[in-house]
Amino acid sequence: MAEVVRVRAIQKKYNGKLILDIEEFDLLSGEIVTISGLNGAGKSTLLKIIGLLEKPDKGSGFLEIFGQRPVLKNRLNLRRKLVVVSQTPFMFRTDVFSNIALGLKWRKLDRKVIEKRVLEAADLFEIDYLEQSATTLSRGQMQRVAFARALALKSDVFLLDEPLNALDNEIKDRLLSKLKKVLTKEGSSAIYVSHSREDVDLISDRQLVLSEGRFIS
Amino acid sequence: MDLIFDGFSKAFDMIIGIDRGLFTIAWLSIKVSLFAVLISSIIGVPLGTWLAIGHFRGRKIFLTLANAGMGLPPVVVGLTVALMFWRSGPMGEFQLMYTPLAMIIAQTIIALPILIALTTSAIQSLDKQVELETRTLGASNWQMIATLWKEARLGLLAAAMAAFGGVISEVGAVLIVGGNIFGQTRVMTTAIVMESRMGHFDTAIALSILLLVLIFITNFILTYLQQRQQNG
Repeated sequence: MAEVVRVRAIQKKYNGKLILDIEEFDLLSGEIVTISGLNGAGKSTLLKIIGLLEKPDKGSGFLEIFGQRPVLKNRLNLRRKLVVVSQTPFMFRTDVFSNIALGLKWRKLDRKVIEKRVLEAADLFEIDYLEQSATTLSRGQMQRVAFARALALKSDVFLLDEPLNALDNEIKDRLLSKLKKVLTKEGSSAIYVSHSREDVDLISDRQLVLSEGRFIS
Repeated sequence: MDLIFDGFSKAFDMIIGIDRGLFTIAWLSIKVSLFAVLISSIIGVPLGTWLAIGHFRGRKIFLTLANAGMGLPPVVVGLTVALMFWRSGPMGEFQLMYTPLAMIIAQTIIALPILIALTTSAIQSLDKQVELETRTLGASNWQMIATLWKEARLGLLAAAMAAFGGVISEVGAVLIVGGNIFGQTRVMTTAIVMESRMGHFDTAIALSILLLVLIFITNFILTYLQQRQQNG
């Protein structure tokens, strides 16, 4: 299988403190990798760097997405192949339907395609409050909407940072099982960050542990 | 007390009787100030956004200048614009002195720092996740900026309200560059100064009431829009 993401010798420091030091990491096409580790291990930073939301420190190694190193010219195209879902998602000041449709509108897709994709994603994540204002939702509901919003994009790579940690275990397990099926069907790759052993076992093809910015297994 | 009662009584007569002179002055005030706010919004909102999200050298200095500019004395702006447009001044050939256009330019300069500083503040007060979420959902730079404006729309409306309130009630700049010529450059504030000096308190009171009503109506409309967005 081809590598969709290649990370080599990447470092990130905040205020002089090294918080990420990845020697080598590859994500293969169609693979679901889970990353676990303590708080502050660098998991979210790694996802943001791979998701092109943060840059690694200058002078460190390189990052390749689908064989391309991100530069100003290709950044938007590459970013549209990846999507990051965070554990504290932001809801735009509009209804749930429009929130899920936003990324699709930015890709200038046909209105009917947008509607179909939004309804599919909402159905998968058991969202039956599409007309409700997104900013009034509970945290668990927001996480579902954020996940549906990302899934509707049918991206090649999903970078999931504890995206369902506000949900009950029963619902979460059900949604994760559905998610795994969809990702496998679409051939998408994913990195799933989680503290939960059960989540990791349920969804992963490969498990990694991050500690103090480095992979230890 | 008679002076005040007489003044109010005549003022109401003028307003209810739709005194033509009075409404000519009021209409010019509205036009000049609205144009000034419109132009300063077109320039100030993008600049304020740039200051809020840009990473460049000198950003803090620009921001300090914009914040300091909110306290720019209108008379100083008026004097500066007058010096530029004075017949022998560097832009004297345009013959803009004592024209509504000169007044719009002066008021735009007064409103601009308000728009820049309050836009910066409105954008910066948004959750940091907006920018990240917008980017990860695949927005281009323009789509991201449009989203930031949409999310910060309450703050941007507040900036426009503050700027409009600031320019429609200022007197120093429009008096210097406009010259208070009836039918051409006389606006409510300059007229109030002149009528008070001449002892025509009825006209001065009528103009003051109109000015206050105008500011109230404008802010009422903007507040209504703002709150509708908040609830929407």
